[in-house]
Amino acid sequence: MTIEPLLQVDHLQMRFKNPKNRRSIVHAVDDVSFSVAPGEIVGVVGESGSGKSTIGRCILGLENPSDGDIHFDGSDLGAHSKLRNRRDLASRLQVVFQDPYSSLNPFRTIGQTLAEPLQVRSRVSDAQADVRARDMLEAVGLPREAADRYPSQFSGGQRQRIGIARALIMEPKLVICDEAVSALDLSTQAQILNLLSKLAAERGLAYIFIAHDLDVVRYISDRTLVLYRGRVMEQGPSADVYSRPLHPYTAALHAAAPVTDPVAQRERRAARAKIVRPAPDAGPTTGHKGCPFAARCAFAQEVCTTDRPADTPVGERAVACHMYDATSGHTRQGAGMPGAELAIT
Amino acid sequence: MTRARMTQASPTAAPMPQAGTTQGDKKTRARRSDNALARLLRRPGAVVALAFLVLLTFAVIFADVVAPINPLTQDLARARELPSAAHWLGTDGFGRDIYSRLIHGGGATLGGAALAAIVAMAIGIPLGMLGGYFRGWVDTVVSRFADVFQALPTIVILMAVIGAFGNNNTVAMVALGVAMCEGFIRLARAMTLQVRRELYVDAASVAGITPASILVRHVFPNIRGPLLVQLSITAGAALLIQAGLGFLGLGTPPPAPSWGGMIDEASDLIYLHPWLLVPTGVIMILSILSFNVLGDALASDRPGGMLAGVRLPWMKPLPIAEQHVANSETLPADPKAVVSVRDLSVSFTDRSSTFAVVQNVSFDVMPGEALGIVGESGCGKSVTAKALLGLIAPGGKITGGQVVINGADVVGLKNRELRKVRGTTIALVSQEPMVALDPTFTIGAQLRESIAHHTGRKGRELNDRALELLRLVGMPDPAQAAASYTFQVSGGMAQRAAIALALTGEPDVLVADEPTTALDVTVQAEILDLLRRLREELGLAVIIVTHDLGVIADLCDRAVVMYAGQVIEQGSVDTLLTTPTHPYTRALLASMPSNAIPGLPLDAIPGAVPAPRDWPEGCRFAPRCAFATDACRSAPVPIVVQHGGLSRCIRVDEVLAASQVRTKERNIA
Repeated sequence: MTIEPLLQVDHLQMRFKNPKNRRSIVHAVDDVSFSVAPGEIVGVVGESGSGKSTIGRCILGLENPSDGDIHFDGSDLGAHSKLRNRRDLASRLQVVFQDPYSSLNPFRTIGQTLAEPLQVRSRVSDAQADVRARDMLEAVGLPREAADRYPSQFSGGQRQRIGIARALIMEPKLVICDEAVSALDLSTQAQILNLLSKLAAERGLAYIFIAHDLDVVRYISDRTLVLYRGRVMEQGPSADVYSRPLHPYTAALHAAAPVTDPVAQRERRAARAKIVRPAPDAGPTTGHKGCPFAARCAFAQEVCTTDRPADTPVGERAVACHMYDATSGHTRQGAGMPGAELAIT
Repeated sequence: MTRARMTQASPTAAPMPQAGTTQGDKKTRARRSDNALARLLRRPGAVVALAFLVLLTFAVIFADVVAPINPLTQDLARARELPSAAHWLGTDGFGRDIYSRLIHGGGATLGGAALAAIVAMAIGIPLGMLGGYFRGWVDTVVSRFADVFQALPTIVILMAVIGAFGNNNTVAMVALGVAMCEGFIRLARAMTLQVRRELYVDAASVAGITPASILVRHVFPNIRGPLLVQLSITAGAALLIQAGLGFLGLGTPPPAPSWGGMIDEASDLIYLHPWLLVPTGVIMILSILSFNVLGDALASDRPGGMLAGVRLPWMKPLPIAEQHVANSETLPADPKAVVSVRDLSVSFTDRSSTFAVVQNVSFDVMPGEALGIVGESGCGKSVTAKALLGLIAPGGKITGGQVVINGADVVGLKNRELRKVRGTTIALVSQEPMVALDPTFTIGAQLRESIAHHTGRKGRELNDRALELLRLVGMPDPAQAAASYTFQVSGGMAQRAAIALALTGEPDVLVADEPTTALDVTVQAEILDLLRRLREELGLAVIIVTHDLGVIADLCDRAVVMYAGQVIEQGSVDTLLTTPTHPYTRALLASMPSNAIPGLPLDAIPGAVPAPRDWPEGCRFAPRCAFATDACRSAPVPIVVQHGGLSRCIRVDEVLAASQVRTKERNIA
């Protein structure tokens, strides 16, 4: 039995002209495919320039993809979509942005901001919209009176709660959280992560949770996509991707994030040295043809710089790496050599 | 408004979820008065300008009542008189009453200026906003339209219109408005381009709001400020041009009074009766000045913000300055330490009050040691680090304590003396390498300049040293890096260059203020590797400021944890991060997703870090602390030696016991 996915993204492409060099093309999103089931939380993790936010903006219609298909809840939103009027989608597809300071209009009260989509879309009366806005504020842990105030009267964490309230007031099926907790302090981040988890469980929401922090993504999401320079390096259930990475890049990302136990951190540092080449010795950058991580990868062979690795399915997971050995489940360290386990404690 | 502000003056017991900005609380009653007009009336300058313009407008509208003397009545016997009871502002060359002519003539000038400005605004703002929002061909058409009007000389247009339609002030002023719309188009377009990139515009578009509504509700209020300035400038300019037309005898033909015509008449008698120029000149200056003052006040208006202008004495009691408290228990500065900080306090002053942001901070850094200063935003960690170099943002000052660097106290040194210490003994690397580096010079040129300044080397030696430093900080190709500009290299490489720049004076201590926060995690690991290597190779001591406890674990020997301007825990990293003695350190560690107990919500700390004005009397963490008792809340808690480190907590044993329980739970899960 397969559940019809809520969102299906196929071979999504987003190309830009390089602003520094007009003749070359930047592949911001390069052949990305994934799906989101109803109520599922899919994490998208990657560093700056990985294209993770661009994927979200393509789904939201804030950017027009160069190529590829996006199917959401019965609507075609892809590059060849004939859908001009996305307004009907507003009640089903919503967004929470990273920057809590620029995501709220400073000249409108919180109540006005929350009620606006209701008044425009659902033709509810002003009084009803106001009640629903206040109910929503309560649901995200703010006092009802917050509706009468302006954004400048709230802290970063409170603004992010308001951003969540704005996204959820239309009762969407899918919310794209674009670095929704990245700008917050540690203690506030934990509050917002708990709130997002609770709301998803209570309301059966699906999230695409975009972040650069592997720990945060692992904590909140059911499945994780690891992105590097516009390509999916690896995807699978979050716990597996985290505890037993199949792609050297995933392992490198994991090993680079410092842990708070100084002893464990020393071990992690040693593990990182085996996966990543030290910066000054980085190999030649590969063009669009090879694997984007080859220059930094300690396992890279010639094939990695010349051929694009295909997505290899591994059970529920998929990995795009030439050096992945399906029989041993490990990463090869060159011809005839034993495979290496990438897991990091 | 006043009452709402008074009620939240008590600094105790920060309310939990509502604690944010100090202004926020209990503001619901203030809502009605928080509109643009009420905010405007809080600015004395704006009140005077507004009152003047309103009075003048009323006077002009009811001219027959306000100035009953007929402005056209000549009395040659009483010509060229100075002010008197009969003629308040004297008489002109034909014995006509100047006061009366000024009031009756104001209609043509003020009304004409207002008409021109409104026409310019009504045409320019919508066109500019459409061009900026939709871009593409709409923008091209709008921009060309603006170009055409910029190229046409205004006076030629006016002459042509007067030639075609006759000498009619209204028609001339409408034409003037059309000719002046170009400024509004360009401004509205540029501002709209900027605002449409804001996330709330994206959010509105995702919410299905139509472009027209987005432009009216979301874009316009946010570009209103500069447009109002433009309106006031345009009104002032139109007033001058209208007067200019009057001077030429156009617009309002004599003998009908107009301000421009009156200046013309005054210019004929400039030697005989110079007074004639004064009333007209003054009223025009005051009108234009009022437009500008009003425009400025409206431009900086923002709802609910702190930009409410000068604080009038009855509006809010000034909080009492938090003074530096000398701490008698503090040990003297350690002579072996390269940096020894004792009782350092820093205060800031804004419009309304002076408040402490760092209080009684003490720590030592031994040669070659790495010390971490960690805490959330607003805890004072960055201010502390910068104070070591004597770098305090405007409005701030060190109010007490010592910063002993290599045996000498640098607090209170003059800037010239501080400059000798900065760079050569203690150097700074900031979060944004692009701030430290100048984009108009190559990296090599900046290094050479700084090396020459600090060491007096010359010529080839300079270049050799620059390349040596670039090699030291791990640049793959030092020669190429030296020839590059900062915008040509990646963020990680720019941070390496910034570190090289900090090393040019061969300092003993490097203060790194969030050096990896703006970088990707894999690049962060490389920069931390570099700092570790510099410690080993150069014996450099490092003070790193960060919010990331993992960075502390990776790089530091010892750490200082700050909360609300105070050091709350200090000790060796190995014990501090594994068995913290302060509930805040413990709570921070427990709130991290990587330390979560699987299947349970994260251990979030309730509430938010209080703002400096809202610091509680007793333990500053008590309102958010799970271990707090009445004793914690009643009096300040001193920082004392506990379990091998320093801790500002009176319930250390309970904290340690709770941590053991949690570790067990986590291991079971």
